[in-house]
Amino acid sequence: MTTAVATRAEFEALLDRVLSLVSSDPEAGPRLAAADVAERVEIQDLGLVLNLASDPSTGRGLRWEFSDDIDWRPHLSLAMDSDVANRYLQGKENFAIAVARKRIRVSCGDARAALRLLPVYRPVFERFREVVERDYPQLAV
Amino acid sequence: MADRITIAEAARRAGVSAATLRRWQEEGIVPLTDGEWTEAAAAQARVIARMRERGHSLESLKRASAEGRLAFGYAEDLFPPTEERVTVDEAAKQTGLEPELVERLMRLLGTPVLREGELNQEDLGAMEHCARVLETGFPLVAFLQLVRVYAQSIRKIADAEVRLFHIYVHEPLIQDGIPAIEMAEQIEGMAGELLPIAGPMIDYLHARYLRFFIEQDVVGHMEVDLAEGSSGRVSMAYCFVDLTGFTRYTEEEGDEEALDMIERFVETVQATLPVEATIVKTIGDEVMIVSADAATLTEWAVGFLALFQERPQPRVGIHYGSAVFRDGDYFGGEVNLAHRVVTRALGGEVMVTRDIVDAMQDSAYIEFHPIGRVSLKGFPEPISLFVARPASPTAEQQLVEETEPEV
Repeated sequence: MTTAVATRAEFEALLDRVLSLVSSDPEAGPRLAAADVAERVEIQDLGLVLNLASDPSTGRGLRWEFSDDIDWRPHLSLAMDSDVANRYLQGKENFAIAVARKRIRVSCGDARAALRLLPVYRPVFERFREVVERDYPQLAV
Repeated sequence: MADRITIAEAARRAGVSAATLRRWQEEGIVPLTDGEWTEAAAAQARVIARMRERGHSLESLKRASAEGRLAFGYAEDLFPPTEERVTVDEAAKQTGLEPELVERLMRLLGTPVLREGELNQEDLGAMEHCARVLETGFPLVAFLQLVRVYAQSIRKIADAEVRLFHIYVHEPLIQDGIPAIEMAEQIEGMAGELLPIAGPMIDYLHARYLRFFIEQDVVGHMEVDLAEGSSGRVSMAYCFVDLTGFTRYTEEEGDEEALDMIERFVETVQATLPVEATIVKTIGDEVMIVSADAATLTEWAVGFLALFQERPQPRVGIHYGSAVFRDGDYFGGEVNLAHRVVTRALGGEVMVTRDIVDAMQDSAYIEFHPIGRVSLKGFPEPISLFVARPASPTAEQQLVEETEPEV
């Protein structure tokens, strides 16, 4: 295990900000919502859990919770440390290679979920990089 | 309001006599708006004249016209060919190219004007571009390959534009029972707005991909290619990925769902590939990828397959070797071998040859399980094959994981 790149509160605030931006983006929000994939991400070294899914109330954005207290079931579960998450979300860590190197652990009960989600993930990386550059420059890689 | 034209002008455009047009009008083969000839009606007449030459009966054309099936012919008017023509010899004289080279370039471009032995002004313009490229000193052998790649790629784009327009615009209008001339005008309006966008889009994508590949070249991922470049051969890792059980999946889920699955599959391959790897082509549910870096490509394949724990599961075959690079594709026995290797993999397996194992001897992440020497179709000697899997944790790593406190 490596040293965490941020505190749990910092990383949660960063992810919350990025997801708010992506969800309200007129292009990215609907595209991610249309993928209709519920995803669970665990940042292991911070003990942080994020569950996100399409927002059924609008059908055009996302809903997310930083806990497992949710009323939906994830199709895709990822687990990684914060340094890997930080690099992956800035587009600096190849997802599949990280899986092969066991830096990201993946559990995917529905292959179609991965096929729907991964091709539309790019806006998340872009927003993450923007927020890091502006508000969390110490996390830039 | 549609532009009205005289019957003489309509006859000139359609390439038939005015008397023929009157007969087609009376028999309802070319419907007119308020009895007036318009550009749309002349375009319909031109299509009908062409179909008559191909042997279609007036009765069948009358039915097709009434249903609006000929309405897309009007869109041809958006790209009127220039009428002034020159012979091959004149084109050669004007451009400084040899007549044989003009003919060869025109054949590569897929332009069938050579049947008439003449080029129009657009063809001549294209030959002038070619001459300028060759004047820069760019080798002819490479340029001829480039021209073939340009022609094949653009042909595919134009074919897709027309087919998709037909499926998603023209057919729905026919289903809605829109009158033929009104339909032709609607199609012309939409096509007139859409088709000119293709040029700037292609320019944008070309610039973007050119930047990407120049960057790849500059950062040194092509050192081996450059060393072998003069012979036209390159050493790369060749990877084929396909979906097992796809035929059954198509039967069970239907063509549309299966097509969606293929599109998402190819998009996911594209979205997850390491930057130095490139998709060369897709054939149905099969994707061909190349990379100068065999190790990261193999790691990608192992990680990628971890996403698919249920059918239809992909399988992968990878081999490293030397092949001929021509027309944007890779050819030769080593490529054929990679293609054969994937057929021996089961769903969820990454099957590789010894060349990949040798290139990754020191990998801390991937281990290789030999399955023995396997006979592959077209190869006289059995080939040693291995299944690539994530490396098992070492005893030391296991101890760390077991003793690590929970957060």
